[in-house]
Amino acid sequence: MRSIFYLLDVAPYGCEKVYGVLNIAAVSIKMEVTIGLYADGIYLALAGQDSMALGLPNLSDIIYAYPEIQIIAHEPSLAKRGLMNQDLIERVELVDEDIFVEQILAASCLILL
Amino acid sequence: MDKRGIFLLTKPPQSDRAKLCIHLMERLGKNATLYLAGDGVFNLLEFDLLQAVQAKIIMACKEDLEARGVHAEEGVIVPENFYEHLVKDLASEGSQIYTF
Repeated sequence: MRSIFYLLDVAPYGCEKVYGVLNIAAVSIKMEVTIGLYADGIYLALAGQDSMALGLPNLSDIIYAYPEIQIIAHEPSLAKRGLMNQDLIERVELVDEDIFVEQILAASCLILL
Repeated sequence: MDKRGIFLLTKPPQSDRAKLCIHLMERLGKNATLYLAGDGVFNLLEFDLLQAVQAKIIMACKEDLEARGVHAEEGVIVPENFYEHLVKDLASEGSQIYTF
C-alpha cells in the first residue's frame, strides 16, 4: 500500500477521534498520507488553537510537527459553516469538491473513523 | 483496467458521508457497486438521486429494509444473503473498497 487518505468529519477537542486520526497519520508517514478535513472536521483547520486550559494536547501543534502529512480542507464544508474569512493554519490546503474527491480516488486506501 | 469501486453505505441520505459517497460513485459510474445496509437503506427513499449515479448494481440488506419499513424500488437487488455477496465482492481482485 503506497498511499492512505484519512477522512476526518468530526470537530476537534469534542471527542478523541481527531487526536486518534492525527496520531495514526503520524505513524503512517512512511507512506503518502493525506488527511481530508470534511464537514465538521473542517474546524481543525482554524488557526489560533490554545487547548492549555482544557489540559488537552494542542492538535494544531501535531499538524505542524509532521510536515510529511498532507492536510487538505474541503472548501464547500468551510463555506457552509461560514468560515471563509477565518484564519486557517498555513499548513492546511483549501481545495474544492473535485480535487477533494480526486484525492480520495487516487489513494490506495480510504479510512474513516 | 478501469478502477472498480465497491461502496458500502450505512448512513442516511442527509448525512455528509452519504453525500460524499454518492459523489465518489458519480465519478466511477458504471464501475461502482453500491451496498446499502443499516440506515443506508433510507437512501432508497431518495431513489432518484441514486438512479442519477447509474451504478452498475445496487444491493440492499433485506433485514434492514424490513426493520425500517422501506421498500426497495425496481432495479435494487435484495438478496437473501446480503453479506455473503458483499464479502465476495470485497475479496474480488481489482476492486477498491469505500465504506461510509
